Order: sequence, then structure tokens, then C-alpha cells
Amino acid sequence: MTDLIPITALGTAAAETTRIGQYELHENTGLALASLSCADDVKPFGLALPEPGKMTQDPQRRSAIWMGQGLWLIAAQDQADSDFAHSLGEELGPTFAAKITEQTDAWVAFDIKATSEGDIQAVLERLVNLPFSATGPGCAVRTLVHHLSVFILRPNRQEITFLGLRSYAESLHHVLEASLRK
Amino acid sequence: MTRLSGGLIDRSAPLNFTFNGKSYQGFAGDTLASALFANGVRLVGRSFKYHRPRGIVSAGSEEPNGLVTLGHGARQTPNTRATMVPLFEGLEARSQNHIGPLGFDMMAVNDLAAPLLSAGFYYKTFMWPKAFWEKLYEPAIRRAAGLGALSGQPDPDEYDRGYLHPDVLIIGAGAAGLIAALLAGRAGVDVVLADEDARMGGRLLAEGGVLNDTPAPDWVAGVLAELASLPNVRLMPRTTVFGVYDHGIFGAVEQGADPLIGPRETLWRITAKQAILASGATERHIPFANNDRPGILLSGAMRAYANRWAVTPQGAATDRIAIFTNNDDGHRTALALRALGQPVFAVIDTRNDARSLGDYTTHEGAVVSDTMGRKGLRAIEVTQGDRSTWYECGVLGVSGGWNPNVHLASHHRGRPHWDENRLCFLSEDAPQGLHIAGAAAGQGSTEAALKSGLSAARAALKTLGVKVPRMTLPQANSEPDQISAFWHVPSRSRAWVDLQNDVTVKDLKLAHQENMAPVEHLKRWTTLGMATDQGKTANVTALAVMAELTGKTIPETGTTIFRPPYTPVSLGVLGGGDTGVHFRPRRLTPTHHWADARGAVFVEAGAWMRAQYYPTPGETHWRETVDREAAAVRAGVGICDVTTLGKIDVQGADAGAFLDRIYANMMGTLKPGKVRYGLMLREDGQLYDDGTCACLAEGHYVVTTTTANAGLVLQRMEFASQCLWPELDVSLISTTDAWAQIAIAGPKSRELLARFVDDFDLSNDAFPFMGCAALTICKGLRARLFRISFSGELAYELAVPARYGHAVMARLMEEGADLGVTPYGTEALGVLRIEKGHATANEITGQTTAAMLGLGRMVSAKKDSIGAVMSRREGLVDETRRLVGFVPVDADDPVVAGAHLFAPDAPQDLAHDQGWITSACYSPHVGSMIGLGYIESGADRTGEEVIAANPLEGQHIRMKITSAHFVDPEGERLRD
Amino acid sequence: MLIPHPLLGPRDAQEFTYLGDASLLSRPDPDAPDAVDAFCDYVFLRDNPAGVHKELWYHEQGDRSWLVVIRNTVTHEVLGAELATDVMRAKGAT
Repeated sequence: MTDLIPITALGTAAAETTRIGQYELHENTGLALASLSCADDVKPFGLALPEPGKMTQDPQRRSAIWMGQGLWLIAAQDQADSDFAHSLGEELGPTFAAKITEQTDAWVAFDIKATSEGDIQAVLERLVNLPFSATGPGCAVRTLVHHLSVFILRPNRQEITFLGLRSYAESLHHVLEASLRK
Repeated sequence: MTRLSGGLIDRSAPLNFTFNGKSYQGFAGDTLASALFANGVRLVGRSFKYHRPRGIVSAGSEEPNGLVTLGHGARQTPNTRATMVPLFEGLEARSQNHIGPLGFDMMAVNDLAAPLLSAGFYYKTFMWPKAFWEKLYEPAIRRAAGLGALSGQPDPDEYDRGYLHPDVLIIGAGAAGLIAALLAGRAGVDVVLADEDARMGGRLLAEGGVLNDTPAPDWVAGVLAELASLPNVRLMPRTTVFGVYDHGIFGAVEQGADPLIGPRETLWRITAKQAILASGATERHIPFANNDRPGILLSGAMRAYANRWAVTPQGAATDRIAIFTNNDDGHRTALALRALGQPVFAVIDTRNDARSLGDYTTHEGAVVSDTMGRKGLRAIEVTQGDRSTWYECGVLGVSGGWNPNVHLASHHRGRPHWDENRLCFLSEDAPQGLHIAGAAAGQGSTEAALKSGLSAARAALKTLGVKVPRMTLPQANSEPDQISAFWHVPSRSRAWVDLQNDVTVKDLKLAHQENMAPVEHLKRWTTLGMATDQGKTANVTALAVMAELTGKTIPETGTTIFRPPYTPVSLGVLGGGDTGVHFRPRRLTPTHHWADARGAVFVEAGAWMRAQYYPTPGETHWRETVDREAAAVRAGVGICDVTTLGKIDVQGADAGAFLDRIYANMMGTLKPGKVRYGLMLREDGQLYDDGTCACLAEGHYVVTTTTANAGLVLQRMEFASQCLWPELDVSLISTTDAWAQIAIAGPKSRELLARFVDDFDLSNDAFPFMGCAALTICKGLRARLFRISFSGELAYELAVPARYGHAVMARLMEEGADLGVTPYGTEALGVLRIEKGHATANEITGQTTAAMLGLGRMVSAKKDSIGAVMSRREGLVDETRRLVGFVPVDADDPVVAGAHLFAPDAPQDLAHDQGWITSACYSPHVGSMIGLGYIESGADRTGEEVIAANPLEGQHIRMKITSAHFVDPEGERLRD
Repeated sequence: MLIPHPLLGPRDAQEFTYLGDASLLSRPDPDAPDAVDAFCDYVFLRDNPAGVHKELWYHEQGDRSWLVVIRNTVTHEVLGAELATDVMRAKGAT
């Protein structure tokens, strides 16, 4: 285990949670990510690969997210410090190992929790130019939020995850925080 | 000065406000306009050009006169329509466009100079002498003629934006819009109902009628209560839909509900499957001599003020009221005011067969031919046949008929057509999915509006494939409006057509005489229909007057085409609210905070913020810092964050074959553990981008791009993969952000790195130049190491997961302290690469070939790749310019990038231009400034002298041509 | 504008980058004897019709797919959209 100490995408030593009214905004630093390019006949960690615009997840909140034609993002909570791409390759075997790209540090994940679905809708309609129905539970859509390219993941009714490019973390955080305050 | 009984104001909630510093009181439910009337304030501004005293003429967003400045200091907002401002406690308003007090405007002298300020005066006068325009005329005109002023300070208000995707968007919440919303709401589809007014109901709030025996405002309240109870209906008062865009996309601005809390305005982008335009109609006036005095209003507006706000525009309660009309609607105002006990003494009706509808005198076949009263109407002259009589009169309502608000329906170039029966323009070819209803469709009576609103909603629901619920309409007023064409009262005095821009019938005549009759010319010659109201009360009347003057019909004369926005939109809300550092997104490198803490100076590189240089205490000039950093790399070791270079992961069975087609040189032959420099061409054969390609494993490559082209190269590779060679098994994904990449450069770089790697042989044999490897550092951190060099020194690039970039940078500084490790920024990076003769965007301009860089042989003739065929074109093959180095003959002379190169005795013109300097810097290694540049036949001219001309600064500097490699031309250092 | 993405449904044009004439899909044979001429046409000559046009749009802020969109350049009516990969595969099949 290395003695180097990582920092969060926002540049802090530990992830911070901001409470704004009925919302909670939190940088999820534990999310491990790897992309997988293949036909849709494999089941990483037993997850069925989802259709366009969707995600699938298991009770451990490991998930598969549709990225594009023949391309998925595989995610696992609390494994950011593991060599996730490598474990995924081990799991899927040599045929697929060469189609996996480490993505953990390519992204920053901000989770927003709210007390009701209506609160989630109020945030989304100020950020995302998509019908609310297109961002329902189980959806994983990539779109623009204030000129930033993001994935919007909807694990359940009261939660939403914004996956943005890590280098834009500060800008994305500002956008989300300002929007929650309005 | 009068508050009537009734109205939709809350008398239990008085509100204090000021106008021009004087305190007044109104009630909740008032607009600034109605509150001013309630306090007897009729003079609210000065006209644009002539500085004539003006009062409020309308009760809506069409208001041409009542423009005021709200607030003070940074929050000062000019050109606000008093008719659209809901009164709030503490509101501060000021009148505009006058010097000295509003009652005694020094600029009113312009009114006497009116003959000089006629149509086209901008084009005719102030033409000579030419130099006077910018210095004298324009500033003077801008000061004299104009609207309110900006504060000149940053806008402290908050703005927001948002997106809505209803099934049905309904624009306007009058009778038609409400009934449409009710039907669509009951049908269960997602509905957005938007209205520019703070209170929904449209004209139903202004008319005194009943629906099924229920007073109209109560019926409105009932409908709104039901709509509010439906979860699928969103009510948006204070929201102006200002533009219609392709495919059912609408722009709307919502004013904040509270002037002090929350965003001042929100920009909504509404994507609707179906839309209903129920935007109502705007009353037009009838120009007659001196028709612009305070106290002369649109007749329908007077009715609205009386019924909704319980006020009249009287200066004193005894002021007598008259109506001038060419239609029945004018009589309705007389009736309404009579019912409220107001002193309506006459209706002047242009129609010979006009009859009174109530207890007042009607002058049939008569006109108002002149008025008196400088700061407020005092008397009117009524002319019937050849007999003219003056009457004492304090308030005059004018009705020339109603213009349907078809603006939004013609935002797609749809031309409204003239309806000869209704005497108005109606929309014929509205955009697909936009249904027009109510007064906007010429269905002005309450019953007709309800009917057309219902049928528009039915049509929309049917298109959506939704079952249409049954609904019975309430009984309502169905009187049709009789109107006869009457456009203006001829006069030798000025009769205003466009009140906001001071355009009179005379100006139209003059424009006609000067052959500026086509509508487009008319507008520009007279300024008709410009500025904040865009001629809402003027354009159709002007068109009709012009038709009369030319002896043509109205359709022959032209039509007005409308463009967004419907009403003015503030730039602040279009900006979306992000200002300062958040004005646009920025990308921070993984070592940004580390660099920031060290006092680095940053430079923008696209969206990236990069450390430009790292000043240390005592350094007073950036050059000192940069020279130190560059020298430290040549002598010892330096570290630099190079994360911003694009990184693209390329995998798949055909990855090698794919890269062979992307790069001009061979790439498929690259073995695992090796890196190769590559050139990408555009399909036209010119250079596109350069960088390295590393083979990490069989079928797994990492392509690096320049910082600027990172996104574009990925886009081109996606294009090649999807559109040109979809049969190749290759997958692409950006890893730019995933890895913090740090350049470790200088003769001591190996020594420093050796302290980091876990069991990895860094010796030249084991890990030679252009090698790459996956490894671990610092006891287990996964990393990638590339032995590549941009500086020309022994150098490496180390990639670690981005979150560790900060820690690795700090550790490198700690561990390398004894080696003199020095962080360097982009400025030193630039110096090092210029000294080494490496190209960047300065050299790869889109008009350069591989041969110009001296890399012509890299373009493989053995295979196809993007740009390969076109690179063999004659013109490109014959190119003789080559990249060379330049040093000034006199070492103290500057070298300027962009300077053009000439033979010493040649004229310095285009015909003798031999090339140009692409990059320049001070080289600590050479001890003078140096440059890179392209020059004709450059390969064979080493040692020759040329002139670098920089005519902008009068520089002509003698340069000696050298090799582009100022440092280690044999490349021994980086292979060592 | 809304672009009817074949996989994701209608998406706002802001998510896309426009390239132009879809004839760029027909890259000439680099080994043909008249390759330079053919490439000159391919690179420099484009149709720019006022009316129905086949165009390439890139879903840059979405799934990064290239689409062939049929659009009326006068009315902006979109008559259809296909994945470029599907278009190319269909071409390869014939």
C-alpha cells in the first residue's frame, strides 16, 4: 500500500458533504469506474448490460451504465483505491480484458440526496434540458449541464448522481451548489 | 386622483413607493402605472426625440411611453414599463430622458426644432464635417435622444435558467388560454400555462362581464384554483414567452416573484410537443393632431384601469372624460365608466351610423381634430363635417380597433395576412404544432375566445393521441365588434403614429415623398417601430396610413414580420447568471492546488488553467523566473504538469491497423513497451496534430494529442471508426482526466525517478528512449512511465491516477531537494521546446505540411491514411519552406513571432516575402532571443542573413538562419 | 432544433456538433488511378442545397455517435436520422 495520500477532485483531503435546505450534496470519492467495450452478451459481476440511456445495478450498488454503442461504464462503490480495471478484467477473462479502460480518476461523482422526488425534479429542471421522465430511476443519460458534459445517473427516486470530468469538478460543484441554493 | 370602488386590489395592504423622489402610496395588486394614476400622476416621461411631455397610454407590455428607471446604484434598471411592474413596498422609480426636472425639461427645445428632426434626419444632417460625427454629433444626439441609462456597475442580481418539456405549452392566460389549460389539464397531459402578467386572467380581469352569472374575475379564480390542484399543470405568471424556435422550442423569461429574494429573472427553454398561442390582442390608436398628451390613453386600457385597478387617468376627479373610436369597443369603455359613475360626456365616433349604447352623448361621423394641455390634456376639438367645437376634457380614450398578437406565430417567417372584415392581420402559416386561439386569432369576444381556446386544446390533444374530455363552456358575452376603417385624422399639425420613436403622420408623408415607402425602408428612414415596444401600438396604423398615401391596399403596402424577442429581454438573464470566475467552466489540473499554494501564475489554455511560471521570492520579472526554470531543467531536473495533453485509449483487435490509418507514419508496427512520435494529417494533406503513441500491450495503445486538439482528435477518430472504417474492431475512450501526467526532465531526472519506482530498472538498456511501461511507485501506486522528451534533455513522463497527482508532485519536490528539482510552467516549457526545435500549434497552423517541419519522410507511401493521397499533390510536394532557427545578428536585438522574412536588399512586400517567424523566446542556453520560423528553401540556407520585418513596430532586424535545434542537434542527451 | 437520435430519442441540437454534407461517408478508393482527383472532389466539393440535405451530426455531449440526419435546410424540418455505423454497414452489405 502506497504511503501517498490522494486528494478529492475538489482538492480537499476528504470528501465534503454540503447540506442546503432539503438537499445533501456529496462528493463520492469511493466510486471505482472502468469502461468496457463489448457486445452485450457478458454479465460483469452478474450485471446485465443495460440498454441505451439506462443503468443496471445490484444490491451492492455495483452498476453498469450505457455510454455509447457497444460501450459501458462499470461502477462499484467504495473501490476507488483498488485496481478496478484489473479486477474487472480478471472477472471477465482474457477475451474482454483487452476491452477495459481504467476510468476511476477520469470522473468526479457528485451525489445529491433530497427528501422527495419533487425536490429532485426542481433541481433537474434547472440543470438539464431533458424531460424529467428521461431521467427517472434506472436512467443513465449523458448530456450538457451549463456547458459541462455529464452523466446523470438516477439510482432511485430521491437520489441523483452527476458524473462529470474530474478536471471540471470545481465548475460542476459550483453549478450544482448554486442551483440547489436557488 | 381617483380611486373608484371595487377592483382587484387589496386595500388592506398599502404599499409605499417613490416616483422622482416623491412618496406615494398604492395597494397590493397595483402596477406602478395604476398606482401613479391613483395618485394623480399623469406626466411620467419625455418623448424620445422632441422631449414632449408624455403619460401612460396602455395597461400592458405594449406601453410606448411609460418607461421608467427602477432602483438605484448597481441595481438601477432602465426602460422598465410602468404598466408591467407589480407594485412593491419601497419601490423607487424615476422618469427618463430629460435634463432638469420632468416638468421643465431643458431639452424640450427640441420640440421647437421639430422641422429639423423629421424623418431621415440622422441621414441628412450631421453629415459635415465628417470628423464632427464621432466627437460632437453622436454624443450629443445620444444624450438628447434616448432611453434610460445603465448604472455602469456590475449587475449584483442573480439570474437563473431552466428547461421545461410539457406536452402542451399555453401562451397567455386569458379566456382562451385558461379554458385550453383546463381541458388539457383534465386530459392529464403535462401543461405549462405562461402569462406575462403577474396575475392570470388576461382581459377577463379588465372587463366587467360575467360567465354563467359569475363575475369574470371570480370565474378566473375558480379555474386557476382547479388548475393549481392538478399536478400535471404548471402555472407560470410573470413569464413572457419571447421567442419561437425550431421544433417546438420556446424561449421564456420569468420575472422573480419577489423583487428582493431569489433570482431576479429566470430564462426558461421550453420544449413543447404542442403549443397554443392565446396571446390576446393589442389595441391601436388613431393619430390626430397633438394626440400624445398625458391623459390620452387607449380606450381598452382605461377600461382595464377602471375595472381591475379601480383608477382613472384623471388629473382631478372633476376631469371630464371622452372616447374617440371607430368601433363598438370604444362605447364599451364609455359604458363601463358610466357604470362607475364617471363623468363621460361624449363618445366621438367616426362612423356616420354610430349610436350611443348608454347614457352619454355620441357625436357620429365626427373626429377629434386637436387637443390642448401641455403637461396634461385640458381640451379637445371635435370636428363634425365642417364644424369644429372645443370641449373641456381631461381624459380621452382612443380606440382604433384591436391588432391580434400574432408575433410569435411569425417568428418562423410566417407572414400574417390582412383580414378585410376584421381590419387586422391574422396569422396564416403558424409553425407546426402551434395553434392560435382567442383574440390572437381574431376571436375577441369572451364567448368566441372560449370556443376557440377549447378547439385549439382539442386539436392539440388529438395530435398527442390523448382522449379529449367533455367540457361545456360557460355562457359569456358574444357581442361581435362592429368596426369601420378609419386610420388617422388629417391635419397640418403633428399627429403621432409611433409615440415611442416620435414618428408622426408627417414623417410618413415625407418618407413617401422621398420614396421610402416600402415597409422595410419606412422603418429605417423614420425609426418607426424600433426600440423597446417594437411598434406594438404603431406598426399597423403606420402601414394603413402609408397605404392611404400611396393609394394602395394594406396587403399591397406590406406586412410586419416579427422576430424574437416579443418584449425586451435583459442580457443578464441570457447570460444565465454565472459571472466572474464561474463565467465559463474551467478545468484544473491534478496539481492545480499544489501550484496555487506555491504562488504559481496561471494561464488559460482553452478551458484549462495551467501553471505558467513559479516565481520565487526576490524575482521581480517573469523573465527572471522563466530563465531560472529553463536553466534548471538543462542543468539538473525540472518537473511540470503536462496532464492537459489529450490522452486517448485505443483498444481492439484492429487497433494497430486503425492507427495506421489515423497517423501518416507507420504505427501498427509499434511493439508493446514502445512509444513512437506520430503525425496526423487532415484529409487535404496538411498537418493536423502531432503527439506520441504508446503501445502498452498487444492491441492497447495510448495516443497523446496537443492540449488544444484533445477533443477534436477524439472526434476525428470517432468519425474514422464509425463513418469510414466501421468494420475495424477498435474502441476509443478519453483518459485525459484519469491520469495526472508529470514531466520529469533534465540530466538528473533518472536519479530522481529512481527514488520513486518500485523494483524497476531505469537503466538506459532496460528502459531506453521511447520506452514505456506500467509499473508501481512509492510502494504500490500504479503508474505508467514514458521515456519521452519535449525539452531535448533526458526526460520522462510519469502518469499516476489523477487523485495522486498532488501528492506525487509534492513528493518529487521533497525527494529531489538535493538535486535542485525545480517546478516549471508552460512558459519555460515553451522556451525548452523552442530551443530544441519542437513544433507546436504556432508551427502546425493548418497551412503547413510534414515536409515543412522536415518530417516529409514520415508520411508513409506504403499505406493509406487520412490525408496521405492529398499530401502527394503537386502544390504540397513542391513546397520548399522549411522550419529553421533564427538568431539576431546583434545579440541584443529582439525576435518577434509573426515577423516576416526578406532578403536583406529586397523590398519588403508580399512579392518578396520568404516566410515568417512562428515562435520566439529568450534562450538562456543561447544567451539571446531566438526564433523558429519557416523560410523558402530553408534546408539549404544555414548561415545566411535575412531581415525579420515587423512593420507594426517599425522593426527590421537582421537575423542569421541556424538549425532549428539550438540544443543538442544530434539528440544525444535524450538518448543518454 | 431537436435531433431524433435513433437510440436516445429527441435530443436538443446543443448536444451535437455539426459537420455537414454526409457525402463525407463516401471516402474514395486511395489506390484508384484517379485517386488525387477523386479526393479533391471529396475534400473540397460539397453540396449545399436549399432543401432536403443529408448531413453528419456528432452527438458530442451524448453517446458520441455520428448520425446521418436528413434535414430540410430551408424549413429545418428533420425527416429522419440514422446511426452512421448503420448507414455504413448497409452500404457494405449492398
